[in-house]
Amino acid sequence: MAFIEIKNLSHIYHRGTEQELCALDNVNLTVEEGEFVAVLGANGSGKSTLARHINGLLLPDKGQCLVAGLNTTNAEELWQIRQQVGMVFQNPDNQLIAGLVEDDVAFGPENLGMKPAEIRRRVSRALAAVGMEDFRQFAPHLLSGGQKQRVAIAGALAMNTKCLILDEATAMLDPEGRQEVMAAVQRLHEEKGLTVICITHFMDEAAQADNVFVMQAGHIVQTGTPQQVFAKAEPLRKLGLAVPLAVELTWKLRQHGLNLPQDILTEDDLVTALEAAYVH
Amino acid sequence: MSIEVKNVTYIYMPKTPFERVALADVSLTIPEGSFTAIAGHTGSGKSTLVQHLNGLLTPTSGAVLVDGVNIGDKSKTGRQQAQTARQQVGMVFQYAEHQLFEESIAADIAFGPANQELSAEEIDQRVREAMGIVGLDYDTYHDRSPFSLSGGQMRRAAIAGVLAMRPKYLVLDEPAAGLDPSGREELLQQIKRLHKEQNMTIVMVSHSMEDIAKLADNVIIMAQGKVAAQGTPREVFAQDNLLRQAGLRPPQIAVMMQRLSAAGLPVNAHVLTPEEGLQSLLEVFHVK
Amino acid sequence: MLNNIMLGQYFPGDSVLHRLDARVKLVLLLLMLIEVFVFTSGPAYGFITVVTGLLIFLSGVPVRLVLRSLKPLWWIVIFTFVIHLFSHPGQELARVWHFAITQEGVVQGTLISLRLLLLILLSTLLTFTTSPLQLTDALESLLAPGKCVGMPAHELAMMMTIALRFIPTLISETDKIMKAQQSRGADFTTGNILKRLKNMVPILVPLFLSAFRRADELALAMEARCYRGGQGRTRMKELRIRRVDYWAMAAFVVFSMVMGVSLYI
Repeated sequence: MAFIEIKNLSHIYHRGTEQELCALDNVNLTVEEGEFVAVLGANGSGKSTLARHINGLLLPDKGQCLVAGLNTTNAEELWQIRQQVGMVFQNPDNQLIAGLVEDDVAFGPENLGMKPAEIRRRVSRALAAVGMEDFRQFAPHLLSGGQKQRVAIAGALAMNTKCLILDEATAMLDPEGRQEVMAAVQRLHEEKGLTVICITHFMDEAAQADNVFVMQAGHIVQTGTPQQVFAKAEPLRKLGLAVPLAVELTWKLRQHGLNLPQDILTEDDLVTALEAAYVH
Repeated sequence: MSIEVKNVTYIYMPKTPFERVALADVSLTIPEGSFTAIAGHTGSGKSTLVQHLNGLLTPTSGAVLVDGVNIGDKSKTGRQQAQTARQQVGMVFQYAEHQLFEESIAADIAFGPANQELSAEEIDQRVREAMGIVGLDYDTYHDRSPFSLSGGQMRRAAIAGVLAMRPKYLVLDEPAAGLDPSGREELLQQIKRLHKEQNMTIVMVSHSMEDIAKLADNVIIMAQGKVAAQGTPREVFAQDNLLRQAGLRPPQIAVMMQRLSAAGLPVNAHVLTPEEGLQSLLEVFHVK
Repeated sequence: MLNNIMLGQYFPGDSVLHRLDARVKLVLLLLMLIEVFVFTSGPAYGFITVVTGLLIFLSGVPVRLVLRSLKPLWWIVIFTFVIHLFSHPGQELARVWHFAITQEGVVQGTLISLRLLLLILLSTLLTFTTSPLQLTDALESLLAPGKCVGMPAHELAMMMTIALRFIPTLISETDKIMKAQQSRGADFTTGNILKRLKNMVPILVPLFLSAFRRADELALAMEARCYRGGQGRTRMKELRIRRVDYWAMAAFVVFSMVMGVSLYI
């Protein structure tokens, strides 16, 4: 069985009022353990709503959401689900609770009722895993946006989370901050086999994913590897998404008749392909 | 006519353990009619610099001149003039939608002009004009609560609130931060139109070298509280080492074309935009 | 303009004061403050000033930093001093216009301003050497007996934790909103009180909206991290009374005795 199984999931906000909005409409999706998945979509496409179902912050109006075989609608299983699925939100300022970095990372394990010595071990390990061990005694407001997000990731890791959901976690960061957060996530995925669900509108973050889901108006409209999804650049642009530079250039060069492979994703790919094409 | 920053030094919390020199003897000119971009690593002093342009911060030493008037002038004769000069510089902060407070969009946009003590007709005129510029239809939106808008629309309403004061110079601190790609593109196009059609002088702080390459005609690179470089995007982005020292990198397309050029392909290594890059590649590969 | 305010600033360290149990620190501080009010003699104040100096030295917090925390309150101290200078009848020392400076006034003024200074310094020392979380944990633990009569000790402590965490964030946010509205010609410095209050609306509305937005997101983040109230929650840093705490209590008893004796000097 897959780690995350979402079956016929629907979610309606403000049901029965004028503002009734169907944010998710019959969505099906599976994520295997250890996978890196990207969910792409413009604002209002339902991607954040989807993310909040996966750790039970929202509950289905129809269908179900299973995590490691546990059902989010089962109140007793909910806490096990939240322990296994950690979440990093968009605004770095609004998710750190304590006035010191180490106290904040300890918040999750404390809620789980662990022993002090065990919490200490986990906090140290989690901070080291995101390269923030030197900032243990810092107050959050003295950190940069990227550093705050890494602390938030550590907070999830300290609960021994198996899966990390990044809910537009880089949207408010500057380029350096984005890069440092994504590098930390990538390392955790590769070295610790962490399952990652990256909700984003930055396509270059999706390029490193194993699987990409594209959402629009509460539906999943495209699924596949980044190569498969990005190969159709034009429909993506119509959805209000920006295509990575290499993909865009390849697409235009191919239109002009230049023979380039279809699976180019990164600039490295494109440079290699262009060199090869030039030699011919 | 221009904004001149003359030997400005700014020290945060002087004479405390937290003392920090944010700007060190900065001198620069922002010519009228230019589209000036200011780039720099976080903590390079760029935000401090732009807050000096309309007198929100007063230099520890040095002066800021708007169209020749020292906006820090506190003398009896100069004070009034200085205030008028400061009003020539409109300021749009990061996440500008967080400054909205009125019950209706029109009332919020009217806040600035009302503070300028204009007549009711004039204010109404300004509100309509500003909403038109940012693409919010007056009849549809003027009565609505600003908080019922989408994120991108709220941002534009907030910008309209500054435009309604008819500044000659418009300073924007990361205007597109946090918007999704289509919202971003739309907003940047509107800023470009402001520059082209209204002849407004734009000063834009940005982290995106791509946006700077596409929009600006004058770039200022800040590093460690000093101006590290100033010039056209082409001049500035050609100084690879200097950019890297400032913690920045040239636009993606420029980096890629440089790599191709280094690999022996006869491409133009000094392109700035994807369009130019495509053009050069098409020429090299003899395709149309 | 708002970044001069220093509130609840923790200065990480490993001094004796840092190692003390937060509950012990909190209670001893309270008792000390009470003594400052009770033992109002010159020698007692001289002694307590020396002890405060010693505590600052022991804390390892740079003196400059401690003095800086006084900055926003300086004028209150000076104001108090000046008021007392003129308002005690007695032997006249000098005359300023119609008002007489008396010897009694100088003595009283000095004592009262010293009392204020000591209050501020001692409380600041507590926040310098105790992390916000330890402080709120101590509060929760001290309030715990109140739970029997329905006092929400955990919730109160959690509220304080969050408040302390967000004060710096909200201060910088206020600064930003003020600047944004100033750029739109808002004026916060002129006019009568009514007008000034009205002028605060453009700051207060965005500030409240943002605080609510933050609260909303924070609640979600806490829930996502398995928070479900105080029940079953453990602590990484458990409060524990150790040998050093007994020493501190003993030192306090000696201190109180000297204070008592000083009344009769």
